[in-house]
Amino acid sequence: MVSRKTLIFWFFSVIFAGLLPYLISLYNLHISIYVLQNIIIAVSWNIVAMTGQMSFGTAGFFGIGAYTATFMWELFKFPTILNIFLGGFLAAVASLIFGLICLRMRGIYFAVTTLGLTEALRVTLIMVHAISFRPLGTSVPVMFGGLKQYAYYFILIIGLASIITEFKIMKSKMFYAFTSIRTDEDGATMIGVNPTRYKIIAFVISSFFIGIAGGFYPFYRGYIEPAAVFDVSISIVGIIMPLFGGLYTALGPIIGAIVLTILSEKLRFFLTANQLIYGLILVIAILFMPKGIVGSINSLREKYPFLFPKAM
Amino acid sequence: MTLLKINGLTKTFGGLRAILNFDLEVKKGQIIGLIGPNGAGKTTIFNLITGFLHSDSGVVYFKDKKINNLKPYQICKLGISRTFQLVKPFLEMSVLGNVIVGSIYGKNEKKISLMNAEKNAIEILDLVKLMSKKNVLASNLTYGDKKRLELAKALATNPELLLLDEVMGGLNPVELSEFMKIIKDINYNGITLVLIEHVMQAIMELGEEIYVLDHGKKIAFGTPAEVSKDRLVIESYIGKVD
Repeated sequence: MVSRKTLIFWFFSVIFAGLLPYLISLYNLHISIYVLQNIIIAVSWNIVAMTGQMSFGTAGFFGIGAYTATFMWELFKFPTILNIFLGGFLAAVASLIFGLICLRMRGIYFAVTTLGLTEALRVTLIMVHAISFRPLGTSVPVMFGGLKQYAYYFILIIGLASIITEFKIMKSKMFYAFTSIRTDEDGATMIGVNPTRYKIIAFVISSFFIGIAGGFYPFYRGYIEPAAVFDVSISIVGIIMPLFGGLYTALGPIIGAIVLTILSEKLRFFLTANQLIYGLILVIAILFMPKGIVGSINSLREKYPFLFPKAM
Repeated sequence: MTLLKINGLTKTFGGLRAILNFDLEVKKGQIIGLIGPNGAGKTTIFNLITGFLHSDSGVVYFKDKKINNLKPYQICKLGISRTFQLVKPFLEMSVLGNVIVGSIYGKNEKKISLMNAEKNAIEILDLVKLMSKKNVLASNLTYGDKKRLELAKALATNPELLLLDEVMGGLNPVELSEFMKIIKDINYNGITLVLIEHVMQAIMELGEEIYVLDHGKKIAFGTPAEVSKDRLVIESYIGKVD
């Protein structure tokens, strides 16, 4: 089923990723953690996109994960990793409830509703802090006593788990359900696919991982506030990365997350123009590579097979 | 044995009476034709049977079970499949992928593995003569092949009752006779069929009994010979002769 070449590729990738903390500076390790966080978000968003739903609620579930983890620590002083998983779990439950209500909506209605949910959560958390006379920002003990290496390994494992989940979905029966719903929901339902059921499955799986990424955030930074974890840019970035890398493909969100995260970090040195350059790169990418990086490579391979001598 | 029974089916859209008091009975193994001028309501009846529309009154029985308020995917799992007049291939998937969806999620969902679904899909592609194009992207198919794919998808769900909506529309004579043979084979293998058709040659040759619909009402019923001589039927197609 899996080719030997693929296994070798993944084996060495994982080894490389595992050795990374010993190969690069602390600053670059921080960026790598950021990259992994974005890989999780991008891969998760892609899973939901495969069912044809465009979610703007990524930040909402990220924030639910973050605040659940924080409250679990504040109330029960559970160990950090348990808090983070509870964050993921609660985000999944929230997505189930939300999904049962809203996943019947199609297209833009669903997108706007998810956006509204995120904003509602952000404002609610601000109000909760105001009513209980708490300052908006909360300090949280940093995991593993601040040793970035271990934080890196934790998020690496979660990242790998999300990638494996995505690949498993792509090779499963569910791939056919997801794709049929996305391409023609009426056609899908007539052929026996229950659209709402599979949209919810995708949504819950996705929100679980996003929630864990969210739970990780405060215990990595040592700090949480509503504006940071319910930031709409988390949702936007979660959409742009799979688009850039290749929507509905397995590698696309991963490549998109790696390239765009590193790009935005390196662009920081252009103090005033960095956002402009980033935006320009995105526009050029959409114009010349509408199918993203992976999609464009696939198109090239079809048109010019001689460029890709070995069959992949 | 009666497979499908419809009693008094009525559907109104605002002020428009689309279907009025429609009755129908299909016995297992039959090929039934449903004909009538454009806008008569034939596709509406299919939509009502398969759960895309809810009727205002009347009952639809499938194997003595009332199926009025079920969703389309539930009705598919009971054993009814349909094709759409405006074909709905899954454009982003290959021909094989399209049919695999049906193989997986038809009547066999819980029990079938991906490998067996693929085998089943290949058998069906062989039946409709699309094997040579199994890896072609559905969006790149010719019109005739898209119609074959539409039929293949419906067959993959392993139906007992197959509703075909103008499946032979727009076919050239070679494709037409191929399709007619395929339909006879499908019926011979035990599948009951209801065909909406405008291609008179096909319906007259294939149909055992024909229902004629005009403005939402049944205006005639009988064998092809009887129906083709019925004055009301001729008038509905050609107009009144004064």
